[in-house]
Amino acid sequence: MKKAVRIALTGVLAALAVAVGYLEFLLPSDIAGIPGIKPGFANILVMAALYLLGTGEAAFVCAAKITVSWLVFGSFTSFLYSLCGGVLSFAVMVLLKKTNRFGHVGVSVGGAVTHNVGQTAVAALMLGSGYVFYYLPVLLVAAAVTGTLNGLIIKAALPPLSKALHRTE
Amino acid sequence: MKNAKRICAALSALIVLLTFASCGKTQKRYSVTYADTFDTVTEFSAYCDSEAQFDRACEALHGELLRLHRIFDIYNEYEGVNNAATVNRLAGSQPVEVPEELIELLGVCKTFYGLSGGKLDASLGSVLSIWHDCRESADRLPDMESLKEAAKHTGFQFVKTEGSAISFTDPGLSLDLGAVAKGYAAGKAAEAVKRTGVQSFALDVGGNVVTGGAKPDGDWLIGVTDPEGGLYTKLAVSGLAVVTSGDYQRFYELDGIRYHHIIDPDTLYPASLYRSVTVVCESSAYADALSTALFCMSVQDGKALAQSYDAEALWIKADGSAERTAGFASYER
Amino acid sequence: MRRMKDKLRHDLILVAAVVLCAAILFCVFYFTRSEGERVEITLNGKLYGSYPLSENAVVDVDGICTVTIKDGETFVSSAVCRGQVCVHHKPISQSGESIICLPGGVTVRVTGKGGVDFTV
Repeated sequence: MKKAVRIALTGVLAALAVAVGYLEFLLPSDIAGIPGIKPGFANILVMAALYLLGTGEAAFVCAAKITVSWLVFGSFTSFLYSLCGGVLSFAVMVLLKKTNRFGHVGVSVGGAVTHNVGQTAVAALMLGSGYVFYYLPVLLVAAAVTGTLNGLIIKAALPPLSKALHRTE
Repeated sequence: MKNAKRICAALSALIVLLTFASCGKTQKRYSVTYADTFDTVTEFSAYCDSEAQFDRACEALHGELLRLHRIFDIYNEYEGVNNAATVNRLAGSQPVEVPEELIELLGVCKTFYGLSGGKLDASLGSVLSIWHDCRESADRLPDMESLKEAAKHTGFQFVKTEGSAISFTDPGLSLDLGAVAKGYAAGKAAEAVKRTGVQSFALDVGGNVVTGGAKPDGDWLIGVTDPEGGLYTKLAVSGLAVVTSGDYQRFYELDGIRYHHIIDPDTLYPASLYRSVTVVCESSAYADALSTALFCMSVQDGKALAQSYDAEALWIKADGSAERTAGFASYER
Repeated sequence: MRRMKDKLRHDLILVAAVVLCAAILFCVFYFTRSEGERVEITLNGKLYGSYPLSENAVVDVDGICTVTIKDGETFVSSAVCRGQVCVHHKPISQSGESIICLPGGVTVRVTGKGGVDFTV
């Protein structure tokens, strides 16, 4: 892939990640009566960068999403939460992908689970209370579901995308 | 297959580790009960980073309570300190040097004596000891003549303070600090706890509750007893003191009539205006003083007195109705 | 290049492991939570016994007093102390309420969720 295309694609994915993040922010934060659950679709863009471009570009997309979201519609607290969750989940996704033993769904679920656990841990530290952990079972199942969903989307979207990109060469 | 299992195990371990790592940092709630001060039970709860920190807070608290218990004790004297009992014994014939806390407490009592029109009287010891004896034996009522005779030897005009020495111009006078001592001591004990670094705590010294910083999940919840049984209301407070004076706390019954421990200095008999008075105030000493004073005053006078101390109050009457100061309901849940 | 089938299997194992963790955590939380109100009896500052408020019982506290739990309430049915303040006390049933026998050093308290930290 030509360097120019790389850079452009990174930018596009980052911008899309922010846009998707904003759309999710507008959504009500409970589905089926379960509070605090979001689909995390922005992760699809991060994974797209990870699979199409590379770790560095994916890290940029992730960082851009967290930072710009904070600047545009977040608070410092929300920044803290998404930073911790995001960094941890990114690291885990990179690790899982590197082992070459997991498919897109596996990587996605690994990232989603780590994201939720990381945020719960931060909440516990910030509030100085262990009560937040009672919610973990729900969050874990939610992560498994959304992670699988996002993984399947990426799995379906990557081949055509990849083909389209390589046709530009 | 084996490697996949290893990866999953590692991931699960990571999750569990993260979970426990943050668990260690969260504060746990510790509680302890003491029964050796102020003739009552003291309960202390705090959120601490470690049991060691809690133990340090308990030591500071217990030490302070014990120390003040000895200073304000009117029934026993202790080696090396001139306490209230010493004052009662000697101040009629000579000035007695006392610890500054006793001077400070008497200062509060003197102020309240004036502001409550004499309804809060820490010099009522001679009258109160008659009632105390009757309550202990629970078989007779005090003789009115004895009460009136004892009442002649009461009043803060007979109590003189010079520097750190107390003297009585009436040798028959005796102090009874029961109306304020617990509140004052609870407040001092709370300060001792704060000095050890513990911020989120609550202390209950025989019904005198002092709250520090809020719990991790919100304010401290203090239940107000319904004189008829159960809880009348719940208060959510932090950084404030809550005290209730009630006719059901210490009493004895004779021929079906209940005689409780809050004596009105004017009638020389237990006050019968209300069943209970609850006060919320930043200062524990004032809260205690107010709850006793208001118990013997009209609601109108009580509201004025409470307001001058930035305190909120609740009066529960015998017919079940209640009166409140303007801001009291804001604490109720 | 790993076969798709292998990767799929690993993915499934991962998802299953996550759900299993959730289930285990849930069970742990469910079985370690304290359900319902209890009657806690303290003797000289130390816990003497803890009993469910929902079960009728008669507890002898070291010969000092007898605590009865009946019909969702608890009270001191008899005591050897002189004042009998604890016996005169009305039965308690709500979280945070307590009956104290001062000379005996006994505290009877109702604890549980949705209750108060202290009662005045």
